[in-house]
Amino acid sequence: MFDRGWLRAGVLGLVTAALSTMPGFGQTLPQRTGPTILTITGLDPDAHPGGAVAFDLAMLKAMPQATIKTSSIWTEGPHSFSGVPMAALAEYLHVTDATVRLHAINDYSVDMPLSETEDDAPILAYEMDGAPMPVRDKGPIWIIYPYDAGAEYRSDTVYSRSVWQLDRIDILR
Amino acid sequence: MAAVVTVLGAIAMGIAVLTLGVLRQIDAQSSASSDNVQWSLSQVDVELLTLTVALDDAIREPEKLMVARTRFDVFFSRINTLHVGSIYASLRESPEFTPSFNRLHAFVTQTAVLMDGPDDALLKALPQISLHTRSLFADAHQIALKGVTSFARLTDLRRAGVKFTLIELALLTLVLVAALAAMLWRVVRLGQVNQAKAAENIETLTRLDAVVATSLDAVITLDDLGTITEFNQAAVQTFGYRRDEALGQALTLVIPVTADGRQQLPPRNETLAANQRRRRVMARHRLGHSFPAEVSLASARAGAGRVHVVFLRDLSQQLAAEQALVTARDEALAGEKAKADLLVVMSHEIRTPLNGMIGTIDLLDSTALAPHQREYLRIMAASGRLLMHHVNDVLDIARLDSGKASLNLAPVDLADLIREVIENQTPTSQANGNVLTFTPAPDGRSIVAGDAAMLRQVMMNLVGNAVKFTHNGNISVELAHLSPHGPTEITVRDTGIGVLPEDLGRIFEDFVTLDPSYARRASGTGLGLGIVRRIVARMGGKITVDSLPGAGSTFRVSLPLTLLEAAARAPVASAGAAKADGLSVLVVEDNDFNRLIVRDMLLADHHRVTEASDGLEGVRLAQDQRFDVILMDISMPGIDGLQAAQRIRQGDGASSASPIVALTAHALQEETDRFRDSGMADVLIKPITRETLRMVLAGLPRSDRFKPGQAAKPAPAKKAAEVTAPREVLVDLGTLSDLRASLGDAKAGDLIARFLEDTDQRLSDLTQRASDPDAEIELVSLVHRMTGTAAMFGAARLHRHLSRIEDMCKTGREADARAEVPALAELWRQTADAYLSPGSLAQASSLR
Repeated sequence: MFDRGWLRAGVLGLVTAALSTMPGFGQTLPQRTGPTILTITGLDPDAHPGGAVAFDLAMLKAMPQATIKTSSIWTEGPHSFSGVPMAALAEYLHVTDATVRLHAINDYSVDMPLSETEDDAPILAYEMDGAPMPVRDKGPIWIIYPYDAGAEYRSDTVYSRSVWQLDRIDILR
Repeated sequence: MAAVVTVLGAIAMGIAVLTLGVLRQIDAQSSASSDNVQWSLSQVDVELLTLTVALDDAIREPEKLMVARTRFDVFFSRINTLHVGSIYASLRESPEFTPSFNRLHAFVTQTAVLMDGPDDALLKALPQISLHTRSLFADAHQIALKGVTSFARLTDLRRAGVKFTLIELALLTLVLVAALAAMLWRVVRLGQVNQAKAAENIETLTRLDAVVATSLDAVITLDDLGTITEFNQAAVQTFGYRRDEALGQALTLVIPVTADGRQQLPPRNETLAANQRRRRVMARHRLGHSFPAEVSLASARAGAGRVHVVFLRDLSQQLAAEQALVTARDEALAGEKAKADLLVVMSHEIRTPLNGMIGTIDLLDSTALAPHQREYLRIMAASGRLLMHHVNDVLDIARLDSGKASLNLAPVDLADLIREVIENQTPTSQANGNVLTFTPAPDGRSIVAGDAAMLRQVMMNLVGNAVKFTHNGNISVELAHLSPHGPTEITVRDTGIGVLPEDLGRIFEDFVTLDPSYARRASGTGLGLGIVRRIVARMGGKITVDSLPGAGSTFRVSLPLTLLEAAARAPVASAGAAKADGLSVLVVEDNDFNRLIVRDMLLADHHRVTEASDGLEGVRLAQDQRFDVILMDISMPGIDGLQAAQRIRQGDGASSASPIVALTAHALQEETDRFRDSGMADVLIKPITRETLRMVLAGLPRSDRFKPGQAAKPAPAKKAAEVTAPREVLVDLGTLSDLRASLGDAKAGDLIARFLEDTDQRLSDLTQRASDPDAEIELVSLVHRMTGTAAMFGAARLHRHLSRIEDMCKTGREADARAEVPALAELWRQTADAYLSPGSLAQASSLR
């Protein structure tokens, strides 16, 4: 899966994914210091007090990173999106084989089985063209797929999972 | 077939394109650029309402200002998305959408400034903003509705498109199925036809295989590269190679190159004429011995290449048999010749001492002798002369049989010759108490072209016999021409003892003496009539006898002698005639008519003529005598004119340097070239006229060596005839009149009558044999003989037709030639009518 992802990235040249060599998987993240931009709920209460974890931007930036350069039906022209792959986040949280429910500030929500994520898509993008995204520009987090990379990334399902103004993920057990 | 494939291909392509279209449409639907648009648009309504509620909450409870700000940001984001999102581009251009949207957009832009400002200012503005939002409910609702209708229509359109494409697809599929069905039908039909053909082919192949396998001749087939692809059972037996050993080898395995490295067979790619397909080769057996074989070659197209078939027959036995026959014949001939030579030699050897004896007896007679001694001497002298007579008879027979007796033709006055003979026999006749009389021809003409010595010998024998076997009777000799144009007939009639009917058949045989009493009365070897028969035959005539025992005998000699005009009429003034006067000419021609005509034309111009009726005789005569010119017919049985000419040239005989002129009725251009190459000085194309003959003779050096190919051009007279007779007259009157001029009216008329009779018979014979498809006939030789005669007698159209048939035969179109034969009958009928109509002959005369 990993290899195929790279292969596709190489062939199509539309996705440039760069997994960070910074803090490895399972490593402890820095303490939260800034405002919370993402809350994960529904986790194992034994591992995480209250079954919830809150992330600030710095914590997200300390996780494996990926960049997707693509256009979308909601924007004008191609843009470069950077953030944390959903798969990396799931791994960090030791969540496998679960379905997550993605919640947006605008009360939108949609379910996504983690089994349908790839190593490098989608990503939880928090930067567009190198700048943080305010709520007015679909921030703070936008689930981004490499739409230009293939028709399979332009389906109803993918579009419905491309949640913007994401602020909470609920792990469904 | 190709068209069907093209149509099917086009249909399949169409279906593929359509299917792709449908797939793309379905893809477009699934890639759903519309997806949550309806949701997004309805959210405008919802989020505006939420914002209004949040604003109202913040007005009441200022600590909830943050929530209001967030709600504004959410709404802002929504409007901004509609403003920039590519998916909404079409929507933005809709007039029902734009005004509402513009008002909403203006609201968020305007309000954003306040939202980003300090809290107190915002708080103060909140009621105003809240009012503003309420005023926009209608617009937001309008956008939501617009979204619903607009995208519903779009979906409908797309669905209709898909439906239409599916219908197209269905139709095309139908067409394809129909086409496939048609194809299937056609394939099934073809299958049936092919099956039938295959069955037929198998049958043919089986039959062919059987033919090849059971052929008694070796059959070898080769491919284009020359390797053996088939080698039948007969070939296995002929060459000793097994089939599997021979397959894949070159043909040189069994037909090797010659000692000097030449291929015995022509290259495979060479097109062979019919007569080149069959040839003799030396083949080689596996065990190494060579044997003569006859191969016939054939090639045929087979698939992409050609198949070459070699039929081969072992000729060892046949050749051995032929050789045995030749040897037997040669031995027999040698024996005959030895016998004849012995006769000649012995006769000569006997004659010499006999002459001595007779001479001595004469000398002795003039000396003084006692009367009884003189009586003895008289008996000796009589016996000696009788012996001499017998020896001369034997010599004559031997000479005639050996073929060395050639005719030396010259004008002879037959009446004078007969009178001489009678004068000679008169004493004996009177001694027997006989009366000997002579009756000349009623028309008084008696000068003929003939060999005087031989004619005299015939008369001496016939008259001598009559005198011998007649006592106190009458002997009459008559000279006559049976008809004005017929042959010359000499009748010797006696009133002697006669011949018994049972003996009539054998009196012309050699050494025949009839009854003893007869023998006693008249001594003789019994060779006399044998000599007469030979000479008459040599001159082309015949002899018959009628006899009644006790009443007498009548011998009739009929000779095809040419009557010559009296000397006073002889010279026909002509430069050519004068110039070419007095040549000795050898005429070699197997056709009696033609030889006769040429001979008479030459005699009329006072040339000396010697005749030969075949090539061998011609060669022999040319060996012994020197002739100024040799006229050589080309087509003759035995050795033909070309071979004869070559032999004369290559030999060292008396006439080896004499010019030879080819006579031919008809020749292809390349043939006439070949004649010249063979040493012919010139080619005379029949009909030969006295004029062309003169020109050719005059144009030749009289005895010098000539240069081949430099001879006289075809005679102008012939050219003129060609020019004036382009439309193929039935009978060329020019030729006829020339014939009359050369031979005289009587002679020419006689010849024409014989020509008509002869051709009539030959033609009916030919038509009959050619109509039988199974009969194997030598068409070319049958036709050739007539071609020559037709030319000489000026039967122009018949000649042309016969020539064409001959050409066909020579170029291998035997079947075509045969097909031409039936037409000859009608053509001949017309031609014969033309000859018989009194007008034509009169015209010919007047043309002179």
